[in-house]
Amino acid sequence: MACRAARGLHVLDLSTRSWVDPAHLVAAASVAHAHAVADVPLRVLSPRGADQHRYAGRMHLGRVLDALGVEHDVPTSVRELDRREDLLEVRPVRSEDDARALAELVAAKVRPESCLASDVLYSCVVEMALNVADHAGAVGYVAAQTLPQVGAIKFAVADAGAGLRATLSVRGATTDGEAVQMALSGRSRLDDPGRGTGLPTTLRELTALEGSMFLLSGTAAVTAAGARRLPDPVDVPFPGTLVQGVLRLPGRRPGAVATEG
Amino acid sequence: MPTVVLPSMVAGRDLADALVERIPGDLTATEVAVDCRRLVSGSPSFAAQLVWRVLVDRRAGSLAVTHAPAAFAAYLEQAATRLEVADRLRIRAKAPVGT
Repeated sequence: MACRAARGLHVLDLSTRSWVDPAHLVAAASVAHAHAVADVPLRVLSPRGADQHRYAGRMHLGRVLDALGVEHDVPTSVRELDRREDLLEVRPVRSEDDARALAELVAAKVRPESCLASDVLYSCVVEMALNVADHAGAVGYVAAQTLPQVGAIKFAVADAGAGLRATLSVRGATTDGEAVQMALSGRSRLDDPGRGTGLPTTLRELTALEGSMFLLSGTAAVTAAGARRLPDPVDVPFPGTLVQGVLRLPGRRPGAVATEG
Repeated sequence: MPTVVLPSMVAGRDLADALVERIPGDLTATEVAVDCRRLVSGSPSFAAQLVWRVLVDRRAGSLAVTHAPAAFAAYLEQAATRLEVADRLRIRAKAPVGT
């Protein structure tokens, strides 16, 4: 996902994306929010593929961009009948209350399917969203969807705030890569012994449900599952922090689940 | 005995602070009860803050938790271990994990 400057206008280009995840949507919303706050003009180009274009609209990216006053070509009229697989459209997180309310919405929709997955989802979504409220110093965005073909759920939380390196510089992080690894191992900028548990706990719970976590901050990205850490290439640095989690609904048939796009 | 009754969903440190602040007076050496009968899901950060506020910050003698869902009970135990107060946390009647 590239953000380039052209004749004084920044352009966030999703047009060539062959698939779109919740991660792309919340990343786009976060970048747009940062531009709006800084009063820097931005244009968002919707995915060119028909399915991806519709999906971005169905998940309310267009409406979020409208609310921010950002120019875009993402659809804003949504056929609600198409939204059965969309657990949570792109929504802002401004406070702990927002984090709790959005996590409750997602958990309630999954509960009829699986109490266990609902509990894990609540814990993971709320912890990641609370991190935005606690550390980022910026408005974050959350989105979630089901993947019925593989019996899985994906959720993503992003903010274009301080980023992990800036947050963890007080703990000695000097690169984005170090900061990402420190965050996954439970280091926090705060001294309290109970701090820093959000990411490791989320990773442990996702792993227990055959899932994984994608973590991106600045120039560093890692896909983690259990003790495994696979670095991902980052073409364009992300100005903040993005987490995408995947978990499998218990009892569903196994299948490949893409965790990053 | 001072009792904190948890709602169905709890998360975040602010919420734990707010619930514990409702308990008046000095809690030193007192047993504080936490009733989880209505609790469906709780987050690790809430559990950690609850343990810290009651057992460390306000120096209660013990924290007695009843009807906790298994995942939430585990978060409480992990937090109490990290804070070195596990000997003062008592968890009774864990609910089974549903699928």
